[in-house]
Amino acid sequence: MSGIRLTGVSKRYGRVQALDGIDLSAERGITGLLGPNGAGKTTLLRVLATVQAPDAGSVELLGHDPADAEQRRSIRRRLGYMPQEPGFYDNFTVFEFVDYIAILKQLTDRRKRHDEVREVLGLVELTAEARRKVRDLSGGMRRRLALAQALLDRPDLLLLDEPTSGLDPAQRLRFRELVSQLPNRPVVLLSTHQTEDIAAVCERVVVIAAGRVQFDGAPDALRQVAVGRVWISDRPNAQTLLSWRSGDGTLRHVGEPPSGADLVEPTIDDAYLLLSGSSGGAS
Amino acid sequence: MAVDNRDVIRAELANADDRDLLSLISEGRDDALSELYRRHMGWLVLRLSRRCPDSSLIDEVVQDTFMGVWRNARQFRGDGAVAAWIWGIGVRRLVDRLRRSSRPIGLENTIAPEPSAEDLVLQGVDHGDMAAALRALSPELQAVLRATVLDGLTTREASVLLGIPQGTVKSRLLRARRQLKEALA
Amino acid sequence: MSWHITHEIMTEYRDGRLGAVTADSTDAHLIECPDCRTLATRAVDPLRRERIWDEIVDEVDQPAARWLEKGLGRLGVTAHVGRLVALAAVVRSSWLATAAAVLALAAFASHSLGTITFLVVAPLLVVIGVAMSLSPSGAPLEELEVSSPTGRLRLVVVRSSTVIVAVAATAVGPALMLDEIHAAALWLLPAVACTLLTLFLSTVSKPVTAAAVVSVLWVAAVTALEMSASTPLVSFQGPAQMVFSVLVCGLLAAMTLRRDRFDQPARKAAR
Repeated sequence: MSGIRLTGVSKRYGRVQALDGIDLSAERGITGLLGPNGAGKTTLLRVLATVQAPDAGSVELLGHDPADAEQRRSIRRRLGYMPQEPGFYDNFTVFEFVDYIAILKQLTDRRKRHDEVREVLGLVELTAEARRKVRDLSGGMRRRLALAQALLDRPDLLLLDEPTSGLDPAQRLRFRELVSQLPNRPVVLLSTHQTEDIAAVCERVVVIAAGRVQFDGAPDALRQVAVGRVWISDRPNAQTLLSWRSGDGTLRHVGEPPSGADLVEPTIDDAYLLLSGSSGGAS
Repeated sequence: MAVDNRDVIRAELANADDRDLLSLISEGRDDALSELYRRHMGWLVLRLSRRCPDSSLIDEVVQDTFMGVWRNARQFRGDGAVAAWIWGIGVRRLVDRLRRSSRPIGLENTIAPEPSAEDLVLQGVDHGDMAAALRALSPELQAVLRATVLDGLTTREASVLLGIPQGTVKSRLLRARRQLKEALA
Repeated sequence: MSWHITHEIMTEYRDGRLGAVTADSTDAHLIECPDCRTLATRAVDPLRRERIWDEIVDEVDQPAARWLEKGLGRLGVTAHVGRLVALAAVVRSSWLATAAAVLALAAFASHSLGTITFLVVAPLLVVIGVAMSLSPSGAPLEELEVSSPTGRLRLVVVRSSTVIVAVAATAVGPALMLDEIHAAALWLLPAVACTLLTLFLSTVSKPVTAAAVVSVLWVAAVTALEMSASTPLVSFQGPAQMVFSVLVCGLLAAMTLRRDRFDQPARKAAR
């Protein structure tokens, strides 16, 4: 009983259908969630984090049903959640913040808790900042701090919302290494815009647009979606879905080609644009 | 696999000198405290144990000492060795503890026989006339010299450490100095 | 440096088998020589070294426990609950000072306007405090709190209780200024009722709205009662207190039934 299973999950906010009949399963390993802003990724993560109940559909997390209060608590004991903007108490130091979350996670033994806090701070390389106030940290450091608290107590379900935003390339590499080498091999859901992160660490990627699953499979299979649909040429064309100027001066088009264009190998970005573009609302 | 950043930090700390560690400690780096602790806890334990045989008390004093380092790293003046500064904190914490617990410890319990001249040469330890003169003193006189000259305590602090009245400390000091003078003259 | 400590000397030094003066030389040498200090570290039992370090790092890590946490600890409150209490939004000198000033003013005004002034104001402060603890400034980490095993309900209870206790403690001083000091505590039960009502309403509307509604209801109810009755302070006398008790029990039951509503953030989140 180690995975997650969503069936027909829907959630509406006012007039917006944030999730529209989502079917999704995941087992141990890293699954990427790709999609434009407002596509429902964050809502999906919040449902998985037991922060938000869906309007319809069934949810099973780590073998438990979050609709039941007692089972919800069991799930939460094994859950690590990294929201996009966790929020912080004004005066907290880095150490105090993680310690507070550890208290919320019911790590009551002070010695063990402090060892655990130091451990996760070490994993995200914030050891030197342990006694700095959170409000004095840079954006990238705050992201790492948010990740650190999610890693407390080796969760079996790890939900990461835009984990690498604000991180420089070296830190991004370190993040990928960290996430791919978690010792207890949890179920990881990684919601991101960074297609390189997807390509590097995800065994599987799910594209969500307009509240629906547009694609569910391996990153390479995603790439395949765009095969035959990506072109380069010298001239622009109004009929393409999207085109932009590449580094070498040529124009890259996704969708219908202009006349005289050459077919090229697609990347995941191309496929993603194709899928999200066709359902309206590119990011 | 890429080098673990934690190893890089650890290597930087291992290469830093004691003063740098103190300045890092004053910035709140507890990993720098850990490195300083690793370097200095050994000699501190051993040297303090010569002043007091109660090993659990010594553990507490060492703990107090490094907490003192943690809180007061900024106050290190930069004059003299960091080790000497640490000793100053440590020996005073010991005196405080002894004062509060009113446990007279007295002299070292094990007074080992002094090595022969040949042994000294073999060990390369011979320090010449001063050492010989010191050895000629009685253990009580050596103890007051050790506490005041070597350990840097005041006569009042020495009286707590040795468990003897302050007046006795002073008179023994006088005798010790007189005897040394005579021996070295 | 001409002389260094050999392994044998170090062993004898550690075991106290070295002559006193030779050991003194060793003492002095160790102050000067980093390499020999490494030898000394190795001469100490590693378990002892770890044990002492555990104590040090424990004290170093202990976040600056605020005086309140220490006090609560001495009263037997577990350390982590104490931490939750200390973090409550009301436990801030600025808020407490404002509350104290307001209560003092109310107590002072009671001389001319009647004790009712004080007894009406105190529960209002509680309602405001509770609304604050439910708001973003009082709970900036809401998503993480909701998704934790501890859960938002327990935190809401701790924070609301802290508000009531904080206002009560702050009210002690001003209460001594009242003409009718014996009436000073009569606002407590109504305040608990107001708190529960605010919490209950916060499950269907924003905390600020809930607080506003409860405040208006409270002032209106007291005003109406006082105007219609001949005896003063009828809203706080025996029969009224009974009514408040019933209200408290009813609200507790209703809240227990709706407690799952607390297991969600109070604020609307981004999609």
